[in-house]
Amino acid sequence: MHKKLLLVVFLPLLFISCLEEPECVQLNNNYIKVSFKSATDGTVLPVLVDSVFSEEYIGNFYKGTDETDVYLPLSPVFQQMSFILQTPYKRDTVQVSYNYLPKLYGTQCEVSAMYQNVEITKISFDSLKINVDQIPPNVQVYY
Amino acid sequence: MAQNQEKDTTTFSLTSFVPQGIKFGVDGFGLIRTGINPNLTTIEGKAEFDFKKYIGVFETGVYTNTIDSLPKYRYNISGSFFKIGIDANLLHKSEDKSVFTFGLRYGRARQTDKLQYRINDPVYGFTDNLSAVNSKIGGGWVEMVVGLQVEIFNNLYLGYSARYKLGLRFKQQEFVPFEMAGYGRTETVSQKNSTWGFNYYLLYSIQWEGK
Repeated sequence: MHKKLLLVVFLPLLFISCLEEPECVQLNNNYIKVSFKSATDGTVLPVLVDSVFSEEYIGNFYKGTDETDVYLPLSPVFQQMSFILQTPYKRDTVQVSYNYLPKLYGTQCEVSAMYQNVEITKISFDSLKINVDQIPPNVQVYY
Repeated sequence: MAQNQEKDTTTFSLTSFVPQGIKFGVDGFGLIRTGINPNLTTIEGKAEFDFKKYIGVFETGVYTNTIDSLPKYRYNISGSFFKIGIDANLLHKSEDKSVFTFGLRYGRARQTDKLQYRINDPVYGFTDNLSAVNSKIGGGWVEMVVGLQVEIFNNLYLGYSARYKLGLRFKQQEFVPFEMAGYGRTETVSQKNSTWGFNYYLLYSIQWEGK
């Protein structure tokens, strides 16, 4: 009986000592990736992107470099955003809707952003393929 | 003769479902945490129905907590929960009435929680204070439980249970709840959809049939 009593009193202390605060995490799902590909053979095609900006904010995200991928940042303030991609040849628009869910991983962490139900609601590209296997979806643009 | 055998069988099956005693317990670990932390209230009780080799268990409790880490965030939760399940007592033949159990539980919780937080958006360069509420949301989960109890005085038991909790399902409204009443942290970086729990019980036993 005394041995069992010792187990009851002291074994839980070992268990409690194993509990530890989890580390914080910064999620990277707050971007939509737009890839440029050749319309003839589907290979990756660098496109000179003059500027990328949104209707919701003033500011340019990119400055005149050859890009094969462009990342469009989502904002937690809105549930829908429109992005305008300006290339030397034309100007195209991608409109995205989504749900923003704040999430707290630990007491020492900042609140993280989770984006769910990301959908492309409006596009102006001539040829477009949306990869729905990934969340948020990747947009593949064929030139 | 055949009639007697049938009568005996009937008597045996009926008495198998009549408990030999009942224990009422309170979670002392939760009470200590409540006493130490002025922002926390966690009160949990349980009733155990002794079927000798098996023990039917009903547990219930309330949980309120405020985690204040302003200006980063402030989190409030207020909820209640219950768990039902069964334990197998591996020491049911023990003469000193000790109990060593493995068991399963199904838990349900109902809670309201609120998150007030600040966001810093490096891309768009703004800082904003926002808030989100989950009003009266429900959740359910499963627990695997191991426990040990020892009689310290007449009919008074001290014991603990360690729990592996998994399979949490809930439907959030405006944000992912940080905690679920009776379950704990909903998700951490290292433990996706599972967590550990611990209770330290003081129990009183009422037996109406000798062990």
